[in-house]
Amino acid sequence: MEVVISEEFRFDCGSLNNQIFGEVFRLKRTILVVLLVCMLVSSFSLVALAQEKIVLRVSWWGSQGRHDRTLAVIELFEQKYPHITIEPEFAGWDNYWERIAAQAAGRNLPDVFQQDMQYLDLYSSRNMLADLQPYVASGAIDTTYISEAELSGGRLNGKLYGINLGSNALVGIYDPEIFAKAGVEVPGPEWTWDDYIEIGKTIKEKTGLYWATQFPGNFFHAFHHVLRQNGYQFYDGPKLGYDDDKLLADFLALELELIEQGIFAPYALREEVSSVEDDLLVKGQAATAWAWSNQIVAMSAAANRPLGLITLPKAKDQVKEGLYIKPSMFFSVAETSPHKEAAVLFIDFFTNDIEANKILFAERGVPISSKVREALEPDLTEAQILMFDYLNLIGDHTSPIDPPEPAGHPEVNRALDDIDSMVLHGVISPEEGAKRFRQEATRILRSM
Amino acid sequence: MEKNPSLAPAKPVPRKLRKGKKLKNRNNLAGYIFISPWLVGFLMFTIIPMLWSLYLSFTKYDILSSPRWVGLMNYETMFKYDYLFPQSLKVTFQYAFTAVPLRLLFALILALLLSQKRRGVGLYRTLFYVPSVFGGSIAVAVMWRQLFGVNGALNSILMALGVIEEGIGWLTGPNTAIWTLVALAVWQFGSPMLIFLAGLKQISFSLYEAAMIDGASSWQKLIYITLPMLSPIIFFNFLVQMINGFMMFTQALIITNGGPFNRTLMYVLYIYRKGFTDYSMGYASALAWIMLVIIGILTAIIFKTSSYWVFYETGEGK
Repeated sequence: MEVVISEEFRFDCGSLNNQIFGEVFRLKRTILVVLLVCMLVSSFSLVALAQEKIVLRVSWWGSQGRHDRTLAVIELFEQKYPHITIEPEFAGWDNYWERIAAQAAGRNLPDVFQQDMQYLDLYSSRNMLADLQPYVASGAIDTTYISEAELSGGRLNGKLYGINLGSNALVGIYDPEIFAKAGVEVPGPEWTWDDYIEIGKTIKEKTGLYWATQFPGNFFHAFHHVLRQNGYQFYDGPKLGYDDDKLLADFLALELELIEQGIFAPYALREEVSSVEDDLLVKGQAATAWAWSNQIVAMSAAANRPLGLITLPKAKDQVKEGLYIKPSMFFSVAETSPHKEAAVLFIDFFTNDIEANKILFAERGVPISSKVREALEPDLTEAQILMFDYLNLIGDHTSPIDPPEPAGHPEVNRALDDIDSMVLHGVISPEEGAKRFRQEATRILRSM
Repeated sequence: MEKNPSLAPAKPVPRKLRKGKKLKNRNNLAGYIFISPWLVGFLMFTIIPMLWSLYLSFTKYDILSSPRWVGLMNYETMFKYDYLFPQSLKVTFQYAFTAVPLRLLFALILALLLSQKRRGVGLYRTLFYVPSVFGGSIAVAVMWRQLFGVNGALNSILMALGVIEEGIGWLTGPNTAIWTLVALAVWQFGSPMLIFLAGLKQISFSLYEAAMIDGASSWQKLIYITLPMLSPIIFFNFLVQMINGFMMFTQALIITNGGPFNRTLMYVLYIYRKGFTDYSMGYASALAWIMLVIIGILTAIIFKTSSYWVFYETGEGK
């Protein structure tokens, strides 16, 4: 069979070659030319179509609630701007930063990605982030209803590397019932560290409960607060911003004393608090919890009873206010992004669109646009009203935020935690701890 | 050691024809093609990354910008300034030299008990092996944290018994934290136990029979027959477990995360932190290479000393 077929084939070829080949070829040429023209035209139109269609990659970290809200807003954006398709990428905090680092190494960062204060310096100094100031100036990011104070957290070396997605401040969350039981009046914004210790003592004596798990925020944030009240910054560029080790030594000694008197929870108990749900306030073992203002929402949900907010204590004769308003997180645009205009369009939508913000619902902190805040107000839950009111209230009790932490900050922060726990375990004295922290921090910052 | 004749290389086949040599080459080629999936994987995922990390260890590399050659600076920092380097080494040695012998001891004792022919021994073997099936998992690590927490099960039992009055923070106590990790490691004695069991079955019964006729006690049988005959297996287990011990990571990350103040900062955990939290990939690579050298030296020492305590039946005393 096979042999027969191949012979027939050979015969066919031969006759083609000899007689009809010329004509068929001419016909073929015409067809070819027509086809070629068709193809060229269609590919041009394809290119034109592709130019209109933009694929934008947007990345963020967060919990399931944030993922759902953000995905819904992306859908809304795609409806409004059909020529832009968004590819979302999202993860939890730890995985997020490992992935962003790998993408940065491969020069493949998402066009828009969520940014944190402590990584702003690292990424901007490696030329990974686009300067957004020109877009603010041109109005591509509408700042009509946004005050400079809300934007300034994203500024570094005269450039704007991120748009604030919500404002936060440190806050004390208290249980009014425990205060009433102890007969303690809820302190106003003018209270001092002395009052803080005094009230703590009273609560301990009257109710037997802890006053707090630990210092406001954590040791770093609380000490930062004290430094600011004394007129210092924690960092001054890539080195420590204070020169008096006595400040740290005294603060460590105070913590040690508060734990010994049972006003603070013991170290072991504190270390086991890993989420809002196991906070000692939620469990009814402490009168207060100290956190970031957006956490009040999660905390009242977990506690399931009314809670109130108080400011952090002031220092006697303080140089300036310790409290400050902090951007909870930013959106940054990658310097490598080929679609910066579209990226900026998305950020503007995220920041200013009322519909979008009704979906986002201040989950990332109090929105920076006053117009958005007004629009959200009627629908707010009780806990969110507390949060909004708190940020309004502390306006007069804050001073401007310090520049973003330098690149070595995560490591310095860990060294501070280590030294704190060494002091609390009596391994070293508070004075030694303060001295040792300076040595360690200096070494780490120098190696960056 | 005398060469085992069966293991000696085959005598070269006399060359008959050139075709024969060609055939042999073809056979070799086929062999290489057959192992190529492994070979490619080995090159791509082991050798090349290893050489790359050796290069990185001489650079400063923050992942975000390209690596910058700094010579021996990473190693200098490690040995001169970084107090966490000796600390993590100390912790890792402390862990490996307590957890491994204890785990082997447990495994051996249970293997000796379970090697006896009793009813239901198969069930017990399975039950004792179960912890090591999921011992390395995150879930068990999380459970461990609950167990040793201030309000955990252990404290509840101790309080009920009246041993202690207040909950102890086992995981946060500077002197107790590492022992919770050691306890978890000892609990996972399953796989060395199985290997011991297999080894015990290999020991010829005639030896015990002879000992019985000579009137040896069971203690003497253990000391003079079982342990010497089992020593190659003990050696193998010791080596493998030791290397595993040095690579300990997951449990330290989940249960204590290196705390309190680095008393449980395992070496591999420290490498991970440096690389992925602090973005110091060059320094992390240098740390990894020092670990390789340390494990290499340790393995060499264990091998060297083995001739003094490992008994090989076939070899005429080494």
